[in-house]
Amino acid sequence: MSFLFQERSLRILFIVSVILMAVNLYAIFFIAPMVPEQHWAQKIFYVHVPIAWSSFLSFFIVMVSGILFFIKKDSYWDRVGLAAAEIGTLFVALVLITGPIWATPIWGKPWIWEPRLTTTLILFLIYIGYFMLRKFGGHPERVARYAAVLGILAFLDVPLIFYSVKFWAPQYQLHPQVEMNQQPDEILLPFFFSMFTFTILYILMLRFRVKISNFQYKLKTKNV
Amino acid sequence: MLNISNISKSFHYKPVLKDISFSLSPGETLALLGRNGAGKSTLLRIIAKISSPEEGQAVFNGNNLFEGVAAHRKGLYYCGHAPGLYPSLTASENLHYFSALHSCKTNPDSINSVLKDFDLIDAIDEPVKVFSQGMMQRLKLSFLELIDWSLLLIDEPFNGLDIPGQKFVMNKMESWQNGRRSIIFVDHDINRVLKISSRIMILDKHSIVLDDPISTSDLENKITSLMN
Amino acid sequence: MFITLLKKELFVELRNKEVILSMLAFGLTVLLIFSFSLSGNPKINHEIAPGLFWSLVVLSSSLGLHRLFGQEKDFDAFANLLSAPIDRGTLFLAKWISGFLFLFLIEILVVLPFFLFLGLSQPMSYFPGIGIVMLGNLGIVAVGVIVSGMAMRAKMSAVLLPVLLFPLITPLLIACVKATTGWYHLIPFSTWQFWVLIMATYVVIFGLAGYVFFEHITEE
Repeated sequence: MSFLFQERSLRILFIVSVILMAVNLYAIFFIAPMVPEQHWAQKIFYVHVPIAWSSFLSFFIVMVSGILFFIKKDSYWDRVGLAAAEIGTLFVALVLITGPIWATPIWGKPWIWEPRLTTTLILFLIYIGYFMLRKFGGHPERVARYAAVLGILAFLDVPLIFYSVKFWAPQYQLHPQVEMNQQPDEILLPFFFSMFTFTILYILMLRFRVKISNFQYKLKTKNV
Repeated sequence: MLNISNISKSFHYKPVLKDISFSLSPGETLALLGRNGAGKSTLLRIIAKISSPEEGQAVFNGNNLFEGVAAHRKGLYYCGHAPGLYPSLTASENLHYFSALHSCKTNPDSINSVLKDFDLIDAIDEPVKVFSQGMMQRLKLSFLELIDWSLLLIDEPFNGLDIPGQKFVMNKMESWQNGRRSIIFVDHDINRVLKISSRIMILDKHSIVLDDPISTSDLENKITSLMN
Repeated sequence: MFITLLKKELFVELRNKEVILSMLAFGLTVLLIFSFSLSGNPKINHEIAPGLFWSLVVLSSSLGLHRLFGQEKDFDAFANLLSAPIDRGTLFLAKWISGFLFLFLIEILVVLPFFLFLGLSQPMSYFPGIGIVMLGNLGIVAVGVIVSGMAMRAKMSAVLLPVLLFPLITPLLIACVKATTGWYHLIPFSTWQFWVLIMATYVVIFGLAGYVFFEHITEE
């Protein structure tokens, strides 16, 4: 484990993440005001949205890694793509869990087919397929190419998924349409701080995961 | 004609080929030898652009083979381990379609004469899936009489053939050798290889351990010691 | 070369009929399941007919797509296709168009039983419906050929293919059902033209993606 902290920049990033997250949690629980009608449930907003943003950022990185893998022909980009896919899928699962937790007291039921949740669910299913492809696709050298293509296709699909789901069943537009420019500063500031904190956390997780991946790769290719 | 440089290929992180480099001139018949798992079939499949290497370049007639341009493969013909045929089509239908894919026009007469030559005329209307291994092997090789090729990559051409069949193929391979055509073939029989090839290459432990023309003195002993 | 490849695809399939028969048999079976598992009320069936039709198409297509590379895989004819001086993008196009034609043939064969078993009324006009079906087919098969090309060399390919295919074609499925509903239920075109646009966008994006990426999917 200690090898993860050998790099100075990673050590600093880790400490910064911990501090930021501590401040963020304090801000969410004690500084951000209680919204009438929604009370504690509304506070999930400060976690749910940043995690959702980070997961989309992650899938964007999967696509970019795929493109770079084909251009540079370097397996490093395959490892970055895998790391981003793993973290992205984890975050998507968290979105799908925190969403219903928020929804139950607010909408009265945990799940409805509104566009953003549905898009997230479809992305989750695409990435289940991605990991099945990684497991059953054959030798790693070939799977790297397959995964890169799938990562690019999945991200190309995202706008199509979003717009088709959005107009599929307009009666399900119950997703809290948070009008950002109408929110008071006491909500906006903690929200943007939380977005920033989760992005830093995401970068830290990605760097850790890539470092582990690189190390495993070196071990596997070393004694030959 | 063919320039291979620094080709490396791994499967499951284990290298099969490491930094393989060699050149092939027109008219050469190169025999590729080596133990099972040495990477001979892999090397042929890489040159034929069926498999992609982690690193390396292949230049054929001045064109980069790995660039993904189909025209760069013109004149190259690959004959693998497996039949490489459509099981539900007949021999003549397979010949017709694969020749067309190499931009070679065929007519029923040319196909029939080739099938007669390779002793397949009796099975002309049978789907390939009912062929014996020997028949499929002969059908694979019969393409070479129809297609205009300059580099042949052939993996174990004598596989599954009886003694007359092997002699037939050896004669065919000798007849194909002219100044402009080159052949790289994989084989295991040292005596046969010494008879029909002009150059011997042995792959072992991911590298080329021998690459000598047939005229080299004491070649047979060198080969035997390396293969054992 | 595209015409030669396409002719070969059609000829091989005509000879062994693997793709067509598997799609037809499965399609009719699914239709039977729909017929028995639904209430049988023609009014309800009329409402949900577009959804049922596209569910049937998507389910059958996954079986057919699985066998699309079957003949090339069995005796490794694929190696000869790859080493031949054929552009890989053209190979994708040939598989795409032949797959589209096979799926369209199955739909023609299944549509009459579909209307009969579910007690559906005849549509007012046929051409818009045929156009929608053809556009939907192009989209499904474009992604299907890419995914089938990857699954061809994989383990558990029969399971892997639908798991990869279905989530990717969800927007297309939604758009196909919406457009078909608009046509079948005689809703003005301006209301559902957006869905046709989504379908067309999908076909263009994934058709192009297949053409470009087929090179990388096919090698070992």
